[in-house]
Amino acid sequence: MQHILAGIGDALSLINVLYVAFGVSIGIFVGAIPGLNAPMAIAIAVPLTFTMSPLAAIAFLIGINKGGTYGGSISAILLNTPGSPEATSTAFDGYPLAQKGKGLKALKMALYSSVFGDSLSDIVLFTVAAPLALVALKLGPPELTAVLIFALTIIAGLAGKSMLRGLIAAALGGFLSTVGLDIETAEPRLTFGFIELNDGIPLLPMAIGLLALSEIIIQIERFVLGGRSEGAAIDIFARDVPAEDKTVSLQEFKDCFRTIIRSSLIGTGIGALPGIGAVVAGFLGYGAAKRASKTPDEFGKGKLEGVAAAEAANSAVTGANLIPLLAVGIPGSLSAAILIGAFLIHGVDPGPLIFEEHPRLVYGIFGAMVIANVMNLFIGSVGLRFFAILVRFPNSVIHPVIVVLCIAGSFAIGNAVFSIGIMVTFAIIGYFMRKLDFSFATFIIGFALGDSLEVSFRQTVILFAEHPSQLLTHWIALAFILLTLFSVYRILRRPANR
Amino acid sequence: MHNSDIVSGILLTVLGLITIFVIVPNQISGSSGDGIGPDVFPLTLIWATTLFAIVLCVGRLLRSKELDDPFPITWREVRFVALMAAFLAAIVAVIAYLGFIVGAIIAIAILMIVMGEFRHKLRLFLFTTILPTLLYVIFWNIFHIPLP
Repeated sequence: MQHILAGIGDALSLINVLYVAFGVSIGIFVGAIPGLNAPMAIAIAVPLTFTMSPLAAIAFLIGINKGGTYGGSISAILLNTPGSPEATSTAFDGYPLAQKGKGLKALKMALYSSVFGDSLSDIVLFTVAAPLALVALKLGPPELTAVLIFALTIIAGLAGKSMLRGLIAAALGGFLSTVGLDIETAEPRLTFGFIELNDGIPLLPMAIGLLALSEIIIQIERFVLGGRSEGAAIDIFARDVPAEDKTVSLQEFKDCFRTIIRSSLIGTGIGALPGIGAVVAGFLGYGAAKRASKTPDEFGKGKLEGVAAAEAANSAVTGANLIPLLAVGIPGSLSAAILIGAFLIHGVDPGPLIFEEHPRLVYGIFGAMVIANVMNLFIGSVGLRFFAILVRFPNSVIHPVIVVLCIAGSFAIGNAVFSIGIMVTFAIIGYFMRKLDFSFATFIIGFALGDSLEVSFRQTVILFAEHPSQLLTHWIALAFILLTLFSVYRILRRPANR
Repeated sequence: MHNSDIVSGILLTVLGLITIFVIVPNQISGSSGDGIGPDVFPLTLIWATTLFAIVLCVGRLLRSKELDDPFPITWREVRFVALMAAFLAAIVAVIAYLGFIVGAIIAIAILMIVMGEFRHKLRLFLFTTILPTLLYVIFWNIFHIPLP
């Protein structure tokens, strides 16, 4: 109990609250700009946390993640261009509402439902993660190997459009994680003589290149080759808009409340499963609201409930995504995979032992998540006018600035120009992955889990080399292997994978 | 995704085979006393990648008779990304030899001009000069990270 109180006390310190507020502001800002999203911002922001305490650093990054999830809805509603992929379903009703002069109402409903969904998901995280971690601590090398293979298969099957592509991305990510000194013999592997690679390919410059710079290259390419002009945003603060169209009344919120609860539960369930993500949650929440509605025909034509359904569902993924990370050490999403890098930089190994080794930090993070939700509501409401203006800022200024931020961030991680080279290399790889439709999430999670998988796999071989039949006595491992086979069978039966 | 499957499948198969038969034998050596050798795990993963890539490509060729979807990447795009890669490599070299501020000024100026900002000369001037300097100062003084 004293750890819980101490952690919450740490989270409430002025400096940590300010960092959370700063993170949420950056998150909303980045999320609101079409083409940029929270994982991208987290990757670029990690180097800024070097001088922070572990709690401040993680709280700051989680603030970015939460802010970014809501921020995506701003451009979805005002420009009909989702700021982040998960806000795609928000645009279905958000933009028609804005066209009717109810953009501000839609933005406010998006904010309220986003914060509600996120808070509910956080509560589930707080109650489920610690008991799950106790179970995870009982896993030995064979069990861990089986669990990791199961998680990677699920992620590969559900994160992208086809399981085969997912498996390729996961295996390739795992392969690249073997670069560096061998864990047993300390022989350099695949380093091509670069001593900078003895510690392996650094996760964060790789993530910045794959997520941020490759996207910017594509955006610049669209501009240069396609001559694309930017769409005009709708002025939601125009004087001729009636006052009732600028707010969400209590009755309107009550009317949407059942939908918000339903979507929050859908999002939380989806978030707890590794690899599925907020995009799917948003669509599922929206679809469920439409099916349950007495007036389904009104969806897609500017129904406030549609905005609430999509936003509550996609935001509820944020907290639940940390359940597999904190309980088992498996990142459930792209943001969680990048957070692993941030945890490691600050000397904390995310996984079941975190509750034993850093209980105060964990409860501090939980406290900071609650503060981030409050900040999201506050900054989102107060800064609405500012963020709506930002959406209209030209990409011809924003994109060059982000390129320079990527360069500065990558350098800061390794304190070497070599890190910038890694970032640029992976930006080009990321460009082709985007064009050829391979999942980043699966690739980066495969990379992040590669080390643990190799260690547990090699330990299993050493333990059971002489008596392989003893593996049959490890029923948890056997159960997960069977689950893996069953999941592959089920996923391959989906129409998309045929 | 017909053409995309075939193109990715062929590319990854070729890359996988080069890695298996050329890169891994040259880049990984040594053996382990009790456990498996240092090359077993990377080889397993790259073999898996190659086999999946072959299945992706062959499976698509066997299933679809009409390949009428557009090619995933055009030559114009390949040329563009090659140019971008060369530009970024040049910026990395400038940063390594002349420092962050010079490299950032050149990067921002070229990208803003390419994206049509030459019409807004004041904005171009302000962003190219003030932003890199500001970033340098913030990284150095607030985050204690010395940029080159």
